[in-house]
Amino acid sequence: MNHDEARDLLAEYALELVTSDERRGIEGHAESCDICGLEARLYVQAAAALPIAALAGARADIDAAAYDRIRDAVAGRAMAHGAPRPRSAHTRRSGAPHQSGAALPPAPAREHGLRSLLRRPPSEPEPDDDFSLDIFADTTPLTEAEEALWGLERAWGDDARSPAKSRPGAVRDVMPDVVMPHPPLPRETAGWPLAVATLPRTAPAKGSRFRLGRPEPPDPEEGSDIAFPGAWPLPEEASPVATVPEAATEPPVAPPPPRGSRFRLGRARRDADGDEGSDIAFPGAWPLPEEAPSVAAVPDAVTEPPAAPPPARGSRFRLGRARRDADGDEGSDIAFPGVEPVSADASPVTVVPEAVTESPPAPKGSRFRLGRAPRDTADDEGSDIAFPETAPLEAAAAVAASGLAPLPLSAILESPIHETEDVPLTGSPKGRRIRLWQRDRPPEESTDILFPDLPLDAGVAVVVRTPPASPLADARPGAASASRPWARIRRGRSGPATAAKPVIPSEEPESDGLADLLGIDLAADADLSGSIAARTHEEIAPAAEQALEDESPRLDRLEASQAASAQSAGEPSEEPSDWSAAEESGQPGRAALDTGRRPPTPGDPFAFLDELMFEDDFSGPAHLDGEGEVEGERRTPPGPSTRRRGLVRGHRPSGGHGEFDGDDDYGMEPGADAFGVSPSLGEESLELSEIGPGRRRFLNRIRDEATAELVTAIPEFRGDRALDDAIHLAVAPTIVSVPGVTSPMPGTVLPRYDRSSDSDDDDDDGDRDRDRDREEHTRRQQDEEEDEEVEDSGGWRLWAILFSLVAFGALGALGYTFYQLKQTREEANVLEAKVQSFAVQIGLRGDNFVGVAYMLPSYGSGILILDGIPTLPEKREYVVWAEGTEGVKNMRSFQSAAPSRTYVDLPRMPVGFRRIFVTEEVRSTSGARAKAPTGVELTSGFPPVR
Amino acid sequence: MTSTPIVGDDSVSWERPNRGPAGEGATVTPFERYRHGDPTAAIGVADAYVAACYRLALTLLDDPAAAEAATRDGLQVALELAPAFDPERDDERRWVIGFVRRKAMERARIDANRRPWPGQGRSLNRTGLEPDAARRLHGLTPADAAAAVARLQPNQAVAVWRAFAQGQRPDQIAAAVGAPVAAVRERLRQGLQDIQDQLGAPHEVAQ
Repeated sequence: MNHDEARDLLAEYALELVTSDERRGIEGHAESCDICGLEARLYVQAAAALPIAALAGARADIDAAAYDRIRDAVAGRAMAHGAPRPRSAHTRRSGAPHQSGAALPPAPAREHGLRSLLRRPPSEPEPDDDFSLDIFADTTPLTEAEEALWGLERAWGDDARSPAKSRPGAVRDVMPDVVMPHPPLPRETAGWPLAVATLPRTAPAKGSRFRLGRPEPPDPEEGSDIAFPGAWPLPEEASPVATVPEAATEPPVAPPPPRGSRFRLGRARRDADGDEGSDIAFPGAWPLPEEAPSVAAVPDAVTEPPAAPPPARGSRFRLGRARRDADGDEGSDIAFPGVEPVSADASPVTVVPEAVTESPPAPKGSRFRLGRAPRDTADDEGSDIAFPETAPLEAAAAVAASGLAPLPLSAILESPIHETEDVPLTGSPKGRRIRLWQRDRPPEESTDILFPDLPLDAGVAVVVRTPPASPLADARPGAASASRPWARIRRGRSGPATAAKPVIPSEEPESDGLADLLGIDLAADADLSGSIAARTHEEIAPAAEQALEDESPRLDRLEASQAASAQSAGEPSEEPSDWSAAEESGQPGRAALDTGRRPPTPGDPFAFLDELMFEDDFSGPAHLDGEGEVEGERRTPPGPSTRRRGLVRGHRPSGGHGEFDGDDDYGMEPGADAFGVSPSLGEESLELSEIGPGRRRFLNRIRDEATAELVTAIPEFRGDRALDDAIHLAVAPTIVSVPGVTSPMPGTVLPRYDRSSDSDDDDDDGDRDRDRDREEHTRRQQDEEEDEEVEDSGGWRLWAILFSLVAFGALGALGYTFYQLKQTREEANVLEAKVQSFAVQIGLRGDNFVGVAYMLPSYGSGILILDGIPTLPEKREYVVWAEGTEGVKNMRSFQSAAPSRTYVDLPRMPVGFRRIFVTEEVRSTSGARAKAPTGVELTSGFPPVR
Repeated sequence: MTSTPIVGDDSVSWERPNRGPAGEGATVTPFERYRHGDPTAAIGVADAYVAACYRLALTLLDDPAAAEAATRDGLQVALELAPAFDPERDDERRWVIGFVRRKAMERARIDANRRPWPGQGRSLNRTGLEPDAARRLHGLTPADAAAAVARLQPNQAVAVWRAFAQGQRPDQIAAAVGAPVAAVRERLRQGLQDIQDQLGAPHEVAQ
């Protein structure tokens, strides 16, 4: 502030109308400007006469009742407190002796800080002129606490005889009495008691953490940890618990409290005494930056939570200001103790106690979405919280969405429209995995359902989730419906009202679906070799026909769509489907198969199959009735698996007369199936290349076993190529309805049985053996290639995982570095603010230099910083003098460090310190210090009046 | 705003404080007694200051209830901080009344715009007096002070009293009286200068 500005404000300064900044500017200028200094003192003295003039009023101006009230309040309160405590010498900073009253004892010191807090009844308001937050060593005995406080003051240098001073580093180690700067709390909070922290008696270290909570919480984990950044040196192992006075239970009522207020975070109306929750005191001087919004205490949020059922432990809440903003992304997530399911990266959620408490009594494993229920209906909001030991409830959810009743699990397993694959799971999770297909739907629509350990009569609904539509699926009818995320629930071929089939005891669950499909009660007779073989083609043919009928709607749609696409394109479809490939390769054309009939080709040896399959009154060929030759060829070892293997071997195209028995090359590979040929591995491997080898083997096994059973059951069909094809058609959907397989049509996966290979021509045995060896070799090569691919992909995954770990580690290190830098900076800011808060600045100004003396409030020590003070010749020096009640005292002599800044360490100022000034003196040759200033006074400064 | 007479009568029996550091012929005031450990002296302090402080607060607040609260709060703070009072550096009456005036000003500003004023609470007695000036005020009676104020020119008296009793800054006074801000500042300076001339310059006292 320059001279003109200061002079304009001198009158306002005297009348105490200026702001704090203006006051500092004026005082700083007046210290160096004699004119302004004199004028300021003149104005101040004149203004001081004004209150004295105000005393010359008539008492009649005041109402008698008001007078009595004020008098009683003032005098009564003062007398209730008793006499003021004498002020000790080290706390009396003005230093003025008590000379006015001759016989009067020393003036008492006023109480402040924690001592006054503890002595004052809690109901009485705290004087709002000077708040302080005292942290002392112990809570139990007040005397020791007071001793601790006094020890702190001594440690800060007020008492030279203090043992703390003699201790090395005492000033640094002892925690100061944390006095908050002057307007720490608004006037509305004058009656609030301050937080009292219970700290250990030892000197705490920096960066300690405090736990704010109830004084004696039942759960030691309760409360919130608040780490004060380096302001208070507390040891880490101290970990004290802050006690919260009971009186701090009432949140501020009316206006949003400003910075520095204390808030109680907790559930309102939880209990009567209100001692629950955490009190968090936001000291106005600390870590919140200035631009941070005022922490308005969520009085609404505290008082508005639903009073009904308290949220269970483990709930996550958002603590923030109610109605702060629209999107609600502000606030903090607080995980209450006992919570584990919420992951660290989970998105924050709002308080949804309703979602927790109102959820149906679902079984374990339910998944809940926590979000703002009434706020919007979008599904993407909120967080999913998966409770442990759970299983998906998608089925139940879908049933609830569709309004349909769930089906029994057994009904689903036995539903004729579903092909199921029931695999008991032995690992984790336990249960069973059921794969469902639907014949009248595209094969892409299938689903794996993981069931926990459910009984077969458990109510389960099946929801078919559609995978991303493939180009083939798009070309088919029903692709639009297939793109929906949730498909319908199938209950039967004729609609939802169709009753499920009765449960079949699952002695052989892997063949139940097929058996049920064909109407064969496998469980009725354990010895399939007798009873099943006794069935005639009249029993089989309708079942096969029914299977074809089941396939016919889809085949019709496919044919129609193909025809439509061909017509629209004006040319044959360019789709490189395997249909044409199949036709070119001599396999039965897909188009032909789609219709369920073969094209009438002259001389077609399979023409009779059409008659066989589509005549209403079917009667099989006469040779199919024979049984003897089958019985002669079949070997039936005990046990189902052995029986099947025997059946397969017995149907070897090479005659199966026993020459292949024991031949592992043929017997151990079901893929070299009952039809005696490798199932067109080239084509099939291409189609099934997207699925793993394990699953493919499984499918092959299912297919082979089913086919073998049929063939075994109908020995008359052996060698009948047409009937083989019919059986193949009946069996094929089980095999080809594999999700992801692009050519799953019946008949394309499995090759037809080449009847010519079943001839008894011994001349061709060698060629066939070579062909089989070649095919077997090719298949093994493919298996090896697949294994290599799996291994290669495993290596790639390993590298990906390693790279992810390294990237994650680097990211963590980077974040930690930034965090440390930020902490360091914050600590520096806190210390700097602390210095500015505690230091007393005394400005000095000379002709060519300026200086500032930073001193402790007790004037116990300080430092004088001088800029521009010129260098003196030899035998001369600068001397710092301090004027007290006992005269002028030589503080320190120094030499200028010009052109750099000069720092002078100042000792304790004398008693009654009222002025500091610098003179230029002649250096004593004997080293003795000057007793009195003799040189020119270069500059002087005055400590602020207290 | 209630118009309060600037200069009142001398009917109030003012117990004259000590007249100097040596205590020559000094009468110990109730405030001094309280400060030195006599709690019953608080009654005397209240009797000495309640009326004057209430009038001052009423002038500032124009609300009897608020004036009563400000008077009560200010006097309580004054007694609370009595041990911090230094008779060598300040005048007791100015010191005590200063608390009431501050309380009244704070309440007036809070009631006016619900916002603390910039320098609120930063200091209570930061603007201290020099020892010689304080010594000079020890012998000043309320009648003399009121007479000094009464001898001001009317425009100066209005400006000074508005600034002191109502806490108005020059721009507010200018808006109220319809005068330029610079003129109001000059009136303030001149008014204080005139008061000081009538009371005696500090250097004269020092001599």
